[in-house]
Amino acid sequence: MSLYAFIGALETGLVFALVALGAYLTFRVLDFPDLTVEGSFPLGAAVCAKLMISGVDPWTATLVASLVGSVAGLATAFLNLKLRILHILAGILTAIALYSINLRIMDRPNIGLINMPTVYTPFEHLGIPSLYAPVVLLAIIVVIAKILIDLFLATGFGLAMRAAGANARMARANGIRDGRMIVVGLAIANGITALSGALFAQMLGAADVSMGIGVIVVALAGVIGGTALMPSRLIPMLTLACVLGSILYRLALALALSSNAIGLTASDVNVVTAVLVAIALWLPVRNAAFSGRPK
Amino acid sequence: MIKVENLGVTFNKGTMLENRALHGVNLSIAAGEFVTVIGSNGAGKSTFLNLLAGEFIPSTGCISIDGTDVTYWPVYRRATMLARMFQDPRAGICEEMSIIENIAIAAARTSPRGFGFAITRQVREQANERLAMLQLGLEKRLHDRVALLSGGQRQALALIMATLGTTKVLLLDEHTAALDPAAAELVLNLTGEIVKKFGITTVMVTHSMRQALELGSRTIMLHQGQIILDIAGEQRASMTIEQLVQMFRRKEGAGISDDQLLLA
Amino acid sequence: MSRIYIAIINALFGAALGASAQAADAVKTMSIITMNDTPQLLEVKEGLIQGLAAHGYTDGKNLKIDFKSAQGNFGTAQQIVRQFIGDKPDIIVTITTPTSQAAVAATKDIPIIFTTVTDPVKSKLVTQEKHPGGNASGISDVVPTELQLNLVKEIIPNLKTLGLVYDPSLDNARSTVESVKELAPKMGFKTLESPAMGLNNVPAAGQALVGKVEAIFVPNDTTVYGAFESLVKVAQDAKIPIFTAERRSVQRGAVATVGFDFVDMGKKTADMVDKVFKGTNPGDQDVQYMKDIPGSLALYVNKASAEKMGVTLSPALLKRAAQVF
Repeated sequence: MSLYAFIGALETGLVFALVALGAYLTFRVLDFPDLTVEGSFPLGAAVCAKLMISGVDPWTATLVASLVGSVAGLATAFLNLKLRILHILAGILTAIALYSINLRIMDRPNIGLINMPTVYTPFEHLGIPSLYAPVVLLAIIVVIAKILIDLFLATGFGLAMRAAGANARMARANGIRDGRMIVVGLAIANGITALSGALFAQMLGAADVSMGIGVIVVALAGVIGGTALMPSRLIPMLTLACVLGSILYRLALALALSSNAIGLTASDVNVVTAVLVAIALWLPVRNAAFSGRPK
Repeated sequence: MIKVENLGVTFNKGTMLENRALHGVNLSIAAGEFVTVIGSNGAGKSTFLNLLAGEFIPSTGCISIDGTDVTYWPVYRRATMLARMFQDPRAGICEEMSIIENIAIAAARTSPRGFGFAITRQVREQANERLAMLQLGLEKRLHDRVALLSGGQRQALALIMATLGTTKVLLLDEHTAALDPAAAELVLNLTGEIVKKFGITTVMVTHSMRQALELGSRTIMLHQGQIILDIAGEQRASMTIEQLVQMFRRKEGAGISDDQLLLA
Repeated sequence: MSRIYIAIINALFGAALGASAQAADAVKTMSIITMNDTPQLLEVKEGLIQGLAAHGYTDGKNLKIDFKSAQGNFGTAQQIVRQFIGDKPDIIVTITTPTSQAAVAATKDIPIIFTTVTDPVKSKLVTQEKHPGGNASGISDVVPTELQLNLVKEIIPNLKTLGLVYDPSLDNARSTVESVKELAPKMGFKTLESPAMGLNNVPAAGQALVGKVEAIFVPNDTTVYGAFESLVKVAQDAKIPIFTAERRSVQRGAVATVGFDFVDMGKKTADMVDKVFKGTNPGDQDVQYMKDIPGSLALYVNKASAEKMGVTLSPALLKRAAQVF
């Protein structure tokens, strides 16, 4: 693996680590399998790109994109709570709607962002080679996001959210509005996913309406893989696991991509992903079997 | 403290499964009273408790707690005034979280949840103090996951959680029925001690006539959705189980077998 | 088999020459990335390799090719691009718009030739068509809509409404549709769009037009082409002729087109690559439009399918055709 391939794995791993953190919040903490991300990721990219080509500075564009992403989360929460649509379907419905909405926002399927000032531009002039610029900024953003989530989950509100996901009836009996927890949780998770989409578009050089395809699997690969390799009860460790898992997944991919000698091609990426997730799902079962604890 | 007027609820109204689970129930419970509720299966005991807790909206009547009409309040809103314990030891706690986290969740029941840290010194102090009352050593295991505790220990913890803060009312839904006899006795004794110490108005549903008579100060018997017996004071203190069963038969006539009522 | 062969050659080369993979003019290295490996795009790659062979570069001998498909996944595309940059090939060829954007954004040093991109300027790959400067240039697959619509009118003189089946998420499909909608009123007919959001929706998109249109036009659209036979069946059952924008789809059942061939586009791409190998940077090569390259457009017709769709092709037309299926 060349240095470039390694950096490529690092930067995509960091960008998608944000989606992984969002998936941790929904799938793990809230116990709400949220598939909205397939729509809110490209939504973030679309809003950000549209604003940027309309003359808005990249930082504002990125921020607005995140906020719009939160709204997508609110939509899914509405479908689930008020219309009583099953959580997994509610997310799918929102994602489907967002496909058309994203096309509308961008006015075309693809907006190019090459040679425009992006959030990475200031970092390219820091004296370090421009190759590393995205990694530096993304590392900062991911660390901040992770710490904020850790702190949030340690507050009274965050603990209430954890309770709502772990045992909704007990949570209600303790005065927790589990509906509100879902609303807030989905808003945060989709906001951070849209942020990821905006950052990715600026890194890639374009926002494309098809960008969301496969995002949830990649995010889950990070969450499941990371938490399987670093099992812990402590939340800061679990969020760290999600971030590292996301990066490790990309590194594994990069290795598979560069190993032409083995005969693996990029077409085998999906199989590699499936194998990785399967191993990650099997590890806890195997560990439990050895430790004698009930699964 | 608790006032119930003409309370009734009918499930699946208008269908073949229509079930008038409760009707025409009137009850007044004073502050600090400990009322036990018995009745055969399907008598409406759990339904009554669920209505008090807010799990369903009644079809008729109203409920007020401490002077406030809570008839249409959802569960989470009533939680500021009342607490519940369930029969399943896994239902009243979050087993994946630690003891101190569970207590922190319960501690915030009667006060608004903010963005300050959940586990404060105040919460820790409360945990130490209250858990020590149980004499189970739980205060030394604050960071253990609740999943590691036995059923009896969980119910004891749930009891502590249910009596934290400014809780005025405690609803107990056969909370020792799933425990082994030793654990059940421990939890029952603790229940009596704690509600007395903090003056909590308590309504306890139980299958056991013995428990019903031994605990608390008043006993109510439900049958087919109505209160058919309400005894307290001297009459209750001197009553035996056999007498209770006979009283019941007199009121209701045939149709009840001893077995159903004489469990434990 | 050839992969192992290449691997061994590389190992020997690497061992003999040290870290320098760009050893003289001995072996030219070319990295190709495509977003999807649908048949249409693979035809471009085929043409590219054939074209290079004609210029004297043989895959396996003096040409080393690294071909990767991102399988529709943008994250993977970004990683592939980074990997390519690390490999320092003599040239990167990018197929489709998104991968081209990723490559152009990622490197200003390695020469890039893009292909199968509809609008290089609008996609921000180059700032201008002539002498774009920078390190990227390539071929656009934008279709000669006016010519094709003229053909449709010639064969269907009573055309009142033209149906358009396409995938709105594909840039070049959408561009073509916009162009058709612009030209239609001037040519005297209306258009009716029937979008197909994915392979499975293609036949339904066709069904939705039955009874409302006299003909259907399909732009170069990998989604629709992926399920083309099912659309052809719908059209044949309803006796609505389908017109497309390139050769292979006519072979598969469209009535006719004045279009180009994707293998041919691959060959024209090879011409530009060859120039790079011989020393002309992409920045000094004008962006090419396939439809404007002399000899690339031709009339293709499918007589058998036309009859099934209720259309009789005039003998004069058949004589003009470069190929009759």
